[in-house]
Amino acid sequence: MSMPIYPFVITAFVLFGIGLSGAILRRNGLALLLSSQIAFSGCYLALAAFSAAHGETGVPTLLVVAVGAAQAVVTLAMVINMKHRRQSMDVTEANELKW
Amino acid sequence: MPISLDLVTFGLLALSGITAASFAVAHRRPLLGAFALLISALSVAALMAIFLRAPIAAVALISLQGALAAAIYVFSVSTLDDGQLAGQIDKGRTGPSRARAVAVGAVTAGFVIMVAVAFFDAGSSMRIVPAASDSTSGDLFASRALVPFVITGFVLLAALVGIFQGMRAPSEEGERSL
Repeated sequence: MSMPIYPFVITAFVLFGIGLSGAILRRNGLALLLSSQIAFSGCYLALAAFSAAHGETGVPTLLVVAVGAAQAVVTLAMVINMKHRRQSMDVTEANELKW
Repeated sequence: MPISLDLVTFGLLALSGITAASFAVAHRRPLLGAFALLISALSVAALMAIFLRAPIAAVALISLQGALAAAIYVFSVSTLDDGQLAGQIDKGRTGPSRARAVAVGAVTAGFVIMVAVAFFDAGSSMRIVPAASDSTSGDLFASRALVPFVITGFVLLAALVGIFQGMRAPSEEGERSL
């Protein structure tokens, strides 16, 4: 099973583009979280493809997935907190810096 | 590249992943969006496990996205009302502004360029090669990947602190003093 790398890279680009477009166009907190995770999935796929192309293991991808988990849970906590504080998940309403 | 079972499998998985990702981004119902995110993650994880020889990362990806989808599901069911669950969260939106349209156009143009580069440059020389075994992956954590492993642990610890800080109940006294 020897496939070229470019189909994976193209798929990763498309996934990243979908996620980035969602992050630009949507303004709901949960939608932003979903979009960022889609973009992250594209990054994981590209990283795994290039790791495999260079004979590396999946260890770098695993570490990046762990960092992505941290990003996801912190973003979800922010969305939940925003919902509790403002009764809304519209991120355009969060336009005040606290400090 | 001739048509083979590998290519067909790759095409189906990539198509399901991209379709589910588009659905997750475009749909207004949070529960269906979380479900679509899980489908997209499963497709990407299958690509990683079958073709890219990264089964551990694929399992981690499924665990992450599954837990995230479950958390979104529980949050949505317990917090949102019927109207928000039905997709009325973004009500009142009048359409993308010019700046957003320009940004989306720039992103699309960038993808076209990158895809062209991927097609004509990387595709000609770089191919998937057999990677090391899982036992070698485990050994890497204690040797070459030890520093990133420790740094990732600190990042996760900082994220844990961030979760507790972010989930803290709002207090009027604290808000005034800050």
